[in-house]
Amino acid sequence: MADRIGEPALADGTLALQVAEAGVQRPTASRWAGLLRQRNFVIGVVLLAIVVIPVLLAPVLSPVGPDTQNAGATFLAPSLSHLTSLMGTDEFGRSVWVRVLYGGRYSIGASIAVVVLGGTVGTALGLVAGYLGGTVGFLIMRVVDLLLAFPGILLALAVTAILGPSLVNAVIAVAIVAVPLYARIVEGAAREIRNLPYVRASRALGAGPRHIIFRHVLPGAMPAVIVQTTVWLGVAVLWIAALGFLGLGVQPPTPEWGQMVSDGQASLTIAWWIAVFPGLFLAVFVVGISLVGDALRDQLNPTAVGA
Amino acid sequence: MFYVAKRLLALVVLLVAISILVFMMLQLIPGSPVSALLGQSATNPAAVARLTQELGLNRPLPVQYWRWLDGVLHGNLGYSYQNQQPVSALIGQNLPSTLALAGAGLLISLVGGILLGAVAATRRDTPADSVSMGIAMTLVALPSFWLGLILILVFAVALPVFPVFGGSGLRGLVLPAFTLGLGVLGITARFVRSSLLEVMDSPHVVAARAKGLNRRTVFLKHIARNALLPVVTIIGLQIGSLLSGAVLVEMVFSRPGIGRLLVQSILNKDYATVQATVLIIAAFYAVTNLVVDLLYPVLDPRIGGA
Amino acid sequence: MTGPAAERAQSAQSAEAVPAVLDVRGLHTYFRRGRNVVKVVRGVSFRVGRSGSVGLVGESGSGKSITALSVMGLIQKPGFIADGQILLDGRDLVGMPSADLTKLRGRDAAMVFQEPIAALNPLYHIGSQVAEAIRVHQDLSKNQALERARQLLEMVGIADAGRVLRSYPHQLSGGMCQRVTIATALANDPGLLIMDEPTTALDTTIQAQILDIIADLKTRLETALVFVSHDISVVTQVCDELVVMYGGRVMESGRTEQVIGSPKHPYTQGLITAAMSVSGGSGRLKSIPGEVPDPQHMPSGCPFRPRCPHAMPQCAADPPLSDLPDGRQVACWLHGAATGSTTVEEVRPL
Repeated sequence: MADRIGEPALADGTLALQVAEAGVQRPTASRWAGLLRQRNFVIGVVLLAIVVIPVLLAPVLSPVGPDTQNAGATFLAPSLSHLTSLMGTDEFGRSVWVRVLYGGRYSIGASIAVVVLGGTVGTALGLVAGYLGGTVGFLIMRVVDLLLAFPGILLALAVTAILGPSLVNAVIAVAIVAVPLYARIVEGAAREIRNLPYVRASRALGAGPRHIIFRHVLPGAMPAVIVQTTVWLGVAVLWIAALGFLGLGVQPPTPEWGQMVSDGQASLTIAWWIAVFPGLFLAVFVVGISLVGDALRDQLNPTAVGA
Repeated sequence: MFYVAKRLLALVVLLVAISILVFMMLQLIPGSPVSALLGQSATNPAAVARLTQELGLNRPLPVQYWRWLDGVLHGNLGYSYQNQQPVSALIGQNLPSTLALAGAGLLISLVGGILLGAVAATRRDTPADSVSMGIAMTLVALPSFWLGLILILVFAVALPVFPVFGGSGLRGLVLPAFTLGLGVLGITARFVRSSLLEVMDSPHVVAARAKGLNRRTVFLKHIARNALLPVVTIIGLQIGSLLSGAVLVEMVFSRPGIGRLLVQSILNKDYATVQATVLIIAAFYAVTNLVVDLLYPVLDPRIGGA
Repeated sequence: MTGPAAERAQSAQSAEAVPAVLDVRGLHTYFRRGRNVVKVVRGVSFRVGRSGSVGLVGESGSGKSITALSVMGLIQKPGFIADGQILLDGRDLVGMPSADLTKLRGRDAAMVFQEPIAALNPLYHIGSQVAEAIRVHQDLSKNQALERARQLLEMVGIADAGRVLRSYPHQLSGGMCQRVTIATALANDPGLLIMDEPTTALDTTIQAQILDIIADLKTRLETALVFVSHDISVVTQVCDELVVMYGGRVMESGRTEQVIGSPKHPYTQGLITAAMSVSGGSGRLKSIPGEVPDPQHMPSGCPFRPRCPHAMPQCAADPPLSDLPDGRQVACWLHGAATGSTTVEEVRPL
């Protein structure tokens, strides 16, 4: 590979390279191509498209706004007669279809924010802890362990208790749960890569930490981070929706899938569609992401590095 | 012995750290802890003065922490002004219900997960395998609160088999337990499948067949037992998911429990209860993980040797 | 006549007067992979008499291990036996219902594997695993079986049998575990013992010990032995006869001293030269140039052709395994064809 040129030549250079390449796999063009051939990946992308494309095209596909009330058209059952009533209407006469589409923007947008925020912070912490090691690394990882001692959504709930219910706070809360998971994965990768023969040689020759981290550690940890990110896009959207369902996330009347399901619960027996359709979109999105994530994991095979 | 001691020590350290973190949570709430704890009654100067004195808020933070921890260890988890009850009483009332729910959920997830995973592994690479794993993946992806509502729609509204909300005793436990268990079942199934496949390909299985043992014996004695061992490792994680999921399931089914208590206290700004519930759940999770850890040397002779 | 029937008739004719414990005739074992069929064993024949010892020699990929597993009836999907006969004490194992196969595994034929510790279940102690092998075929109580197990362990030279019986596999060394598996295999006095690379995973000193045990058992018991190995020097220490395999076929077979003393097939010559250069310490290692063929892309004709220094245009056709006057068999055009013409050329070792 081109980037290996210029690395210091070692007596056992070839062996080190082989060791390195065996353990540190970088996505190359051919591997991305192999992805398309995996059935899981294709199905996942199709499912995602079913959800994401309408959500992206929300303004185009919405005859009315998500907050447009219509007192004369409350609790209409889903019908194919009109786009507005494709998924029926709720107790205020608002179009469920339109709210699902706009709600998707909030749900998916929030989950992307979670992954970006949590992933960046977590990766940074992991890099620092893994590369530096020593006391700093130890302390960081112990804090990570502490955060991971709280099961599932508990930590996110505690954070929303402190910060108060709102979408932004929900994003922060879920991101805080994502941080230790990213940190742990990246730290493991960093630790492993730091000790590879050619990286050690690099350091011995005076390469600075920035060089090592950005040229070796980060690319080596990338496959695991990518897989983790796809997994977490799914988890985050579920948890944002869960917080929304509990009333701790988005506040009405802003549409968000979880919060809409909660709204629909009150009228479940007379108007099942209000709760069912947002959840359905949510489920399809998560299944799609899971399939894509699985395919990515198989293709990138990050088990060798820190996963 | 060393194995046990090491882990007990780690647990104690962890519990202390959790308690510190939970204690700090209260300090982080905007406004003073007093107004946080008093909530509505925060305007009453007498109550404020009394609570300030009680909490020793004029003392340095570590002292406050120590006093609080001391209280916790003696069963004093604070007082919920919103509910007019000591928090410990609230927790005592609600904990059994959640434990029952989590227990039932665990049972469903284990039995179902093992069966589904075993079907997939023994019919590897056939349609049965793909379908089983497809089911498993879908179950994991379904939002539990939505699944609960679907189950209600089908089994309580469309077919009035189970009660819609509340419901006591066994009948009232079924739908919530399934809602909780099905999600975790998916994870278990995938894990069981991969564990079985790994064991099925190992040398000692071929050697066992070479001895002339019949299919059933080979499967039960030499495959299943070895494959289920790693499943114990994830039971700890499953319990975490179950506790976390219980929060949502209790809200969906309006079922009394720690989860619902927690959510309601957050919405009511009943911070004393929030703090105590978070502490109890986290501590319970940590202790459960230790118990699972201690099971290993019992089940696997390779671990925890002299 | 020609063809597989002729091969079988010939091997039956050229058989020794001693009835064979194991008679493999024209074995073909294939594996289904996707839409393809990979032919791993392509017509292997050999016989083992009572008290006989046959070494199956070949590099990895030659099909020797699969042959051994086929004899034991341990080939599972996607593998299958496509053709041939495996006669154990006269009964054909190919096509035998699996219930019957299960009954004779461990009793009439037993197997020892390459990785000793891995061949034992880590969750049960040794005693229960040896006793299990005994109680499958013998009606003994647990204690009786354990007592028998103790005797077996002592037979393979384990001094502190009691301690070993109570131990778990991970607590024992590789050599000790291999003794245990050998003892287990002999528990029901099988007529046939197959050993698949039993010493490959062990240190050389331990290797020597195990080989001693095998040699000792060979003299004491009447069990027929099939010893599979890639290491020709190891096999010659234990076996009276050799069967050299390559590319899923038999290249040469005969009594050990014949095959080693004057190897006819170029592949055998290469193997011996390579082995001698390792032990002979003559400086550079002599290896056979080229690589073992991939069963999925097997060249037509003689499988050794790409690497053979004596390759001729004739070799594009697969040479049949033909008999030589001294009782051995070679599959090489250098040594005549099935018609019995004996153009025996003395080919000097490489």
